[in-house]
Amino acid sequence: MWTEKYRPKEVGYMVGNEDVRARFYSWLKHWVPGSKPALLLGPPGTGKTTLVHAAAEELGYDVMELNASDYRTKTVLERRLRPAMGGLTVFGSKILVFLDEVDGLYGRADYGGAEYVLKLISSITVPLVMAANREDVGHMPGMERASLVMKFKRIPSRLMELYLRYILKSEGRALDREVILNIVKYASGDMRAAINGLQAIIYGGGFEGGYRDVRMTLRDAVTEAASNGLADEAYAILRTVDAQPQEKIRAVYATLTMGTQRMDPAKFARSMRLLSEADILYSRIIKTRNWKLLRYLDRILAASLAGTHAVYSEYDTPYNISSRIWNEGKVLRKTAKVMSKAFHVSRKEFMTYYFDTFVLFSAKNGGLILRLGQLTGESDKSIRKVLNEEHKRLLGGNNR
Amino acid sequence: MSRVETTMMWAEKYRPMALDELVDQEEVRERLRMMLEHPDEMPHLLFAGPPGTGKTTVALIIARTLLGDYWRDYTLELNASDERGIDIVRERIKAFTRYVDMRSGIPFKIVILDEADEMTGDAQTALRRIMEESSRIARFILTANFSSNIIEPIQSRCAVFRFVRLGEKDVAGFMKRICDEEGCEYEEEALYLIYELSSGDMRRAINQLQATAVLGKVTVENVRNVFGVGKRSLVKDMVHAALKEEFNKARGTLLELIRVYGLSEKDIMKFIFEDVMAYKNLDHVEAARLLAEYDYRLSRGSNPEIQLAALLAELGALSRK
Repeated sequence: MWTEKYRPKEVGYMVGNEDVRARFYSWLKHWVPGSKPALLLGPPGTGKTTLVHAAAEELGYDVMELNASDYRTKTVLERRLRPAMGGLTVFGSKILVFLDEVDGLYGRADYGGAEYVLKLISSITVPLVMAANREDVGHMPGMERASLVMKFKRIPSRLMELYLRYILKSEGRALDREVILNIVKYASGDMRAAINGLQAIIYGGGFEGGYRDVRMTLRDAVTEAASNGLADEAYAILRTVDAQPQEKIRAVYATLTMGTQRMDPAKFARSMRLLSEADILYSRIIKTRNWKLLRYLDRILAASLAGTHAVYSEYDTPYNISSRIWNEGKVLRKTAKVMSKAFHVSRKEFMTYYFDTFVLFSAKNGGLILRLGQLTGESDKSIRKVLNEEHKRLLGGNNR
Repeated sequence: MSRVETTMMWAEKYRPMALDELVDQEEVRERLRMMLEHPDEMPHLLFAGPPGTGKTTVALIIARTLLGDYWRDYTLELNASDERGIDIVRERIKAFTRYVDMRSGIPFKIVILDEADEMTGDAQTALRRIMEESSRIARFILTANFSSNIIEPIQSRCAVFRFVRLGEKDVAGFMKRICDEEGCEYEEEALYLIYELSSGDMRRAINQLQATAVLGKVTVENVRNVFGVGKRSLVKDMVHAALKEEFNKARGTLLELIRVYGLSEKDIMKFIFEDVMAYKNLDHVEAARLLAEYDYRLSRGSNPEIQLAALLAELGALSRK
């Protein structure tokens, strides 16, 4: 697990939450009997556990950790913590008690646990650290009052990106910046999620183990999979390709839509339906960050391609439409951005429900076109041209 | 855009500026009127209801009423369907609600978050905290088509107002008023046809009215003509092509709609449904099942274009049966 392998061993190597780290370190360094316990609050993957272990290590403490995976009734806590009360382990080093996930410490299963912890806070003779995955411990306000509260923030994207790059470098791997940014984006400040995501992408599709020494280009693999009538064989070909999931989906989409001719409609519909399912699977993986689901993606994509005899296409857009997307599309997007604000609607809604009407009178309105030019940064010549064409299309009854 | 320029669009020009001018929504109006008498007590608000029923209009009225001449300075208006992610919450909303930098007489800042039901779950969760933390500084007004898409904790932090679909008399009446002001001739029947074609959405109706008026008198025939051109008719062409098994042509139009014009994929889906159901010689039950499936997939998938392209391919196979 990279999350363990790359868990910083020293406080100074951690990223994010600089001020909290400094406060915690100083708290532990200057801890004397009677000091308040520390309560670390914050979202998952922001470094609470790492900080406790790293600081303890540096300052010569042994960590006695109890988390939600342990039963924490009063009796159990008492029994587990009794040896710690002396302050020294059998080996003579100092002890720190770490109660992780205290927010989960209530209800029937941990009967009496919460009360015991409150008692512990006032009587313990070794440093006590508590942590919770939330921004407050509302259901036990006593705990917050009696502790030194330290709030962790999510790890900023930039720092996360740097850390992921450091891991990649250490592993001798490389990824496109876009992919890294995507991982960072979906991790939402959770370093653990980001590292897991990174590892899953690097080994993506390779969960079944083994070496992937047969490398094909996406182009060759897609064409070959499409010419193979058997989904299993198409899969065997497709899974050897070293490409990102989005790239593969995009390639299959382009190939099916641009590289097939006169296919049987039912067969073609089946292929497109499978592609649609691959897209949904990918969306689910991203949303739930359940990277294990990636193992199904190649199977579905392979079935979508198999037997279609489609020829690989790099582009998913016919040239005439690409040029409209580039030229008119750019002007239209900027216009929508400006005008949607003026009409208090979304850009899409402006284009869907306002644009046709807007064209009818704006195409001939020189003043408005000049103003649009200023606001969009496009030349008024190109705006006039686009609006005029649209105007013609509308009045010409769309007979293109 | 200045006021003068935006008022060229009637939907903007005739947007009600006071609660009294609002069409229908009696219940909402009464409750709001009472609330506005004690602005300090105002909670966060959630306006739920179909499009074109006045949600954004009322939000703007509240901002104007409570913040007076400076309402633009102290109102942040965002459309969640343009910026759905968590970043927008973290960056723009947080920055706006962080500081008390208001002139006297301004009770709080206002954040209008349109189409809040389009926000991702993460973004909504982040928003929930900000709503609590900034309640001293700002009030939130969220609008949504379906309040059920708003996470529970946010709903519970808002006073919920339900906007009802407008009746045809109300919408037609409003259009008549506009026609009178603008001095354009109309057939009464044509106004009812516009209502029907725009499914009760006032904003859509007014835009269609104006488009028709640009072309001449508002007659039943002209209304039909206007609805027969433009982006809406592109969808119709696309559906025809798909059902005739001309997939490439249909997808070409789809690419135009999405990538050139930037239409909303959800609305494209809605239009496809209307057109498919109007198509004869088709098993409408099978078609409805297919559309229902893809409507769902559209909300689940990551690339709406792939979903709609797959639907076009399936429509081709369906027409064959």
